[in-house]
Amino acid sequence: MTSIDGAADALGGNLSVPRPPASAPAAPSALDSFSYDDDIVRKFMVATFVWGLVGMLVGLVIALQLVEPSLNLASWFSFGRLRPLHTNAVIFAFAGNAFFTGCYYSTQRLCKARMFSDGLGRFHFWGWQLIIVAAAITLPLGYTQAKEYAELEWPIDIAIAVVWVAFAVNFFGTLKKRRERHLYVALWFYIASIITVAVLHIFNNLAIPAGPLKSYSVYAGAQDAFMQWWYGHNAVAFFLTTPFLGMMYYFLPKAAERPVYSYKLSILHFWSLIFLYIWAGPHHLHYTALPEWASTLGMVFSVMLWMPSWGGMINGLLTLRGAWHKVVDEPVLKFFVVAVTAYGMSTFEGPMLAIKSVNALAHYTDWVIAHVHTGTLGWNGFMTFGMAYWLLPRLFQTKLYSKKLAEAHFWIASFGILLYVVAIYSAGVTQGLMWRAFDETGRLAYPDFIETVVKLFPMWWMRAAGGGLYIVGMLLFGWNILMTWRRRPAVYDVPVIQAAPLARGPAERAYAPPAGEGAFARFVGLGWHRMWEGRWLLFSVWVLVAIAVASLFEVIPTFLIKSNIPTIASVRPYTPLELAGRDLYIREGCFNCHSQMIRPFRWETERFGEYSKPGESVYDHPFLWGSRRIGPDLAREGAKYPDLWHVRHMQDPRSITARSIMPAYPRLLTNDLDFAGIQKRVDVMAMLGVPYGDAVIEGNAPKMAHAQAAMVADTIAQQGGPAGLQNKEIVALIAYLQRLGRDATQVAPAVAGVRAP
Amino acid sequence: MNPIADIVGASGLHVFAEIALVLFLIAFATIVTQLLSARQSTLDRAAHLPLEDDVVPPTSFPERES
Repeated sequence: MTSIDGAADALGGNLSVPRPPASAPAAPSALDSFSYDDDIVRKFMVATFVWGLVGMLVGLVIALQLVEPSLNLASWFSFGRLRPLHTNAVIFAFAGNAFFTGCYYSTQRLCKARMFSDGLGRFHFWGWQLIIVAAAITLPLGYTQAKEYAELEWPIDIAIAVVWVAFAVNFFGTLKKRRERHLYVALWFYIASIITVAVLHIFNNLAIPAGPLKSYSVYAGAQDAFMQWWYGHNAVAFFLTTPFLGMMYYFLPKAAERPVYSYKLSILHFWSLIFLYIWAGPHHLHYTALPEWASTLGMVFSVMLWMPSWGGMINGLLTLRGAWHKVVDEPVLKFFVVAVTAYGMSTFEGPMLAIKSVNALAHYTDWVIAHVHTGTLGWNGFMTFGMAYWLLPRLFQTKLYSKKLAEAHFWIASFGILLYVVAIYSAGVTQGLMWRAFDETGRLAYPDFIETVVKLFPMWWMRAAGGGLYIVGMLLFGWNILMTWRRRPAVYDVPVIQAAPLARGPAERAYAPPAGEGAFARFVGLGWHRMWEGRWLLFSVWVLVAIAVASLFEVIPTFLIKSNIPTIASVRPYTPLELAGRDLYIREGCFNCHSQMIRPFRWETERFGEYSKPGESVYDHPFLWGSRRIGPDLAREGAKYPDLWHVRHMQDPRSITARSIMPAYPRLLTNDLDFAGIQKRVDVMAMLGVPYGDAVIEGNAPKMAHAQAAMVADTIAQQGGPAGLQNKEIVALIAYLQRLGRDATQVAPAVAGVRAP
Repeated sequence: MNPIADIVGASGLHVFAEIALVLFLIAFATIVTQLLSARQSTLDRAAHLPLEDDVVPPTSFPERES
């Protein structure tokens, strides 16, 4: 027997008749008795449904707002503020609670141990729900960091970190007290998710508070963009992919009643994802002001991701070998099959979109939205539904209320996904092609941006219909949960489990090479890896090393190599009033529809002006390059239109552009600007290294803002607009918009803090 | 002026992302090589872990009236 085979004995056994580890034979009297905490699993399951429904309904609302702008009913009910609520709700509330459901259920069983602490589990649950409620209140009120999927302001970010640590302690504590030597591959994926999400969250959200719910990112411009998409891409990787892969590796074999097709492939899948994923973020910034080498690196690693992703998909689908007949009758397996297929589709498409030439067409378009929804609706949604339908009878200890309803859910939601993605893929390609089209005279074929928007209306209606069907499926799902819950026993049965404790001592003992075989035999026989698998802390440290080293290699040069961000002498900080206007731009979520990053393509420079340079956004805390163009790019908006044009446009966009879909912001003309609060914001910016000069002297910033506001208000009045706007929010926003993109082409003003002429 | 940026900028570290790429490929290749040598019986035992933890067969759940 080899060392591996010797260790393998430790893997054996089942719950009712446990087999003791080979390293320390345990007498029957030494068996531990314990029970699983399924109450916490039930809680997370219900939260998954509730927040999923809320998040998807908000998604439907914003889909309808695009085709019917009058549905922007109030400031807190406008597209710019609701869009981040939708993304946060479906990612962190729906998918997050789904992950916790699967994680709490499977971890206990794979470790043959109750969770480390019931109290920490409750703290995790209620803390997470409280965070979601805080997000649901603050985002519609306009409190946002303006970073995609990281919009929540600093007090909520701190709460997230605290709750995540509680989850981590509970999870790793469970690993420590487990009674199964081997850490099953699902647990590896959970380990990677928990560690990496913590690292991503902390570093991307480093910010200096400028008020109870206002902060500025410590990073600026290209560096902030780099950090944000290092985070953003890996949030997809380690919040929406690896946790769900862990769930796939546990629940799919359970539902198919056969082991995963290839355990070797699952190991390969895990390590290659960990090695590769963390590098891929810069593909979100192709052709932007990000350094070229970083962009190329992101592309190369993205393309390499094809292999492990498809390896994982194939492993999932082949797990059903010999069980395909069950798929016909079993909605759980139907959901899993489509989920794994959607994983394969979206992970094929992701690397394809990361190829620069493809990205040139797809970036800023709805193609990216379609890609995201193939992954979330198909992979995350259907994995969640499959897991939930499998869990419902076990958690509520009764038969599922209606298998037919689950079947109906499957078919309606599947049709909804198809309708959604076909429409939005078409919309994305249409947009991309229209933006780059030139006529026979060499001019833009569609010079008015609005032409490229209204063309999409039929596709956006079809998308709304597809999303609506998916929500109908959610309602059927909720009804099934409710009715199954109503059939639960008066008191849940809590089975007592018996299992042998793990032998004390180092894990190496369990994997020690037998006599006659040395270290080489253990190395070749994967003994070193088996040792890691037995030592959760060592394993976790290696995961941390893998993601940290990759991150540092990629991120540090951007921060430390000066030539990556060439400075432009004429680029000056925003004036205090412009800074206040920028904060209003952030509050209203304008960056959700307007980019501020012109790519170096003729079709972009013809339409929007000179392409953007990294040195132009060195004072932008946070960067506002955007990722989507529902409206035109604003990087060169300054001085393009008179101040009065902006007043009219904000009051009623359709009075300027008949078919505009932009929400109206008449309140900007009536809301008083918070001049007193400007000083604090300027001070924080100065603390971050922005050279504000005399503006940091107490009282100077509001004084300078008042002076510039009076000038803007006078200009508006002279142009025939309303008088007396000098104390209103609109003047700050106009001051900001009129500044955009002008520094790089103008002589620097003599005094910092004075609006460029 | 940031002296660290000047020092790092002058130190010719532009290629270290490529070096990292090679290091990672080596680490990855090592795992693949060793994985191919792993014993199937051990892996099979590990793969069966999720199938060993059902305490109550789902078919035994009673059907209750709501």
